[in-house]
Amino acid sequence: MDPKAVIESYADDVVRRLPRRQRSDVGLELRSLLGEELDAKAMGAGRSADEAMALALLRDFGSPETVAARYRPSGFTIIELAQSRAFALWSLAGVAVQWALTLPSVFSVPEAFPGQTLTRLGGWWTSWGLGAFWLPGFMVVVAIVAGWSRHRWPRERAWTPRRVLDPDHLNRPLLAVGLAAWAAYMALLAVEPRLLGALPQPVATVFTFDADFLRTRGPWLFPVWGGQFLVCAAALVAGRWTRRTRELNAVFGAGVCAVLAWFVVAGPIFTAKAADDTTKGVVGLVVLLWLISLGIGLYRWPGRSDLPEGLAAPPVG
Amino acid sequence: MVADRDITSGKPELEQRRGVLVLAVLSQLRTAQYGYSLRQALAARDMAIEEGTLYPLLRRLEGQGLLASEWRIEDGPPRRYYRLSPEGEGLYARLTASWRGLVATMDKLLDEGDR
Repeated sequence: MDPKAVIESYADDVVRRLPRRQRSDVGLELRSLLGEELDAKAMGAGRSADEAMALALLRDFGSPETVAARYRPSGFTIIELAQSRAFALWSLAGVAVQWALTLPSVFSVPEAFPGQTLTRLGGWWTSWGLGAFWLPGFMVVVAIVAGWSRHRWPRERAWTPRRVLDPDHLNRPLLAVGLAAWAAYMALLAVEPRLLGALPQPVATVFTFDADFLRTRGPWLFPVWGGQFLVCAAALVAGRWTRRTRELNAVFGAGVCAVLAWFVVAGPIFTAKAADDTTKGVVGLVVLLWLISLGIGLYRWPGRSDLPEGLAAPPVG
Repeated sequence: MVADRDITSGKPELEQRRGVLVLAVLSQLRTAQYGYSLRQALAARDMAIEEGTLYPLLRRLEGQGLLASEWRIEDGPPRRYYRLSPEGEGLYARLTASWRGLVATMDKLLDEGDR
C-alpha cells in the first residue's frame, strides 16, 4: 500500500471523529504534517518511505480515537473522580439487591414440566433482570445533568460544616418518641392473642397467629428486642452513644434480625396465608435494610469513638 | 492505589513535563512556525514533544484565542503557521513570570533539602 494512502486513511479516521466544521481544515493540516514527518523519517533511515514505515509513524502518533480526543477542547466531567467509587458501589449494589429480591421467586415454585424453571429464568431476565439496570441508568442521567450544570454555571460552593459534627450525638426527643412507640408496639404484640376475641371479623381471622409460632418461636423475639430497647434507653439517659452502647446495640440488633429471619423461613406466622405472606415480605425487607445499615456501619468503622481517650474530640451539641 | 503506581512507573516526570508544555510552545511562537518546524525547534532545545501531543495542542490553544494562524503555500505542501495572538502574548508574559518565581522557590526548597 502506498504510504501516502496510509496517511490519508489515518487522517480520515481522525477527522471523522471531530466536529464537522473542523474536519477539512484539521484534515489538510494533519496530512501535510504527517507527510513531512514521514519524509523526515525516510531521510533519517536513508531509504524511501514504505507502508511499514508509515504504519510505525502513525502508531507512535496515537490511535485515531486518542488523537481526535486531543483535538477537542476539554468537556465536562460526568462523574467526579472522588465520587466514582461510591457511584460504582451504589450502582452494582442497587442491581444486586433488585436481583436478590426478585430472582428467588424463579426457583421457589416446583416445576410443573421439565424446563419450566429455565423458561421462568428467561422471563425473569427480560423483566426484572434487565429492568434492574434502570438504577445505574438513572444515576448516569442525573450525573450528566449535574455535570453539565456545573460546567455551564461554574461556581465554587462555600464549604459549610455538616450539621452533625459528633457521630455519638443522639437526638433525645426523637429517640424518646421512638422508644415510646416501640414499647407500645411490643406491649400490643404481647397481648394481641388475648385481644383477638374482641376484634370484629374478618380482622380477628386475618390476625390470628399460628399456634405453633406463638408457642415455640414468637417468644424468642422479646428477650433480644427487649435487650435492644434497654440499650437504646440507656443511651437516651446518657444523652449520647458510647462505644459500649453501640456494640451492644449492634449485637442485639443482629439477634433481632436472626430471630426475624428464622420466623420467615421456619413456618407460618399467621394462619391466614395472605397475612402470613405479607408479613414475611415486610419482615424480610426489614432484615435486608438492617443488613444494609450494618454494611454501611462496618464500612465507616472505626468511628471517632475508637480514638484513644486523650485524642477524642469534645462532644458537640 | 493508582497514585502509588504512578509514582513508581515514571509518570511523575511526564506530569512535570506536561505542566510546562504550554509555556514551552508559547515561547517558540513569538515568531510564526508551523507544526513540524515548531517540533524541530523544540527538539533542538532538548524539549522533544510527541507530534501526537503537539499538533492537537496547537489547535486547542488557537481555539482558546491564544494563537493566531494562517495557511501559507511556499516551498512544499500548504502549511498552517501559528504565532502568538495578543491574548497569547499576555499569557506568555504571565506564565514566564510565574515560572521564574516557581524556579526560584523550588531552588530554595531543593537547596534546603540538600543541606
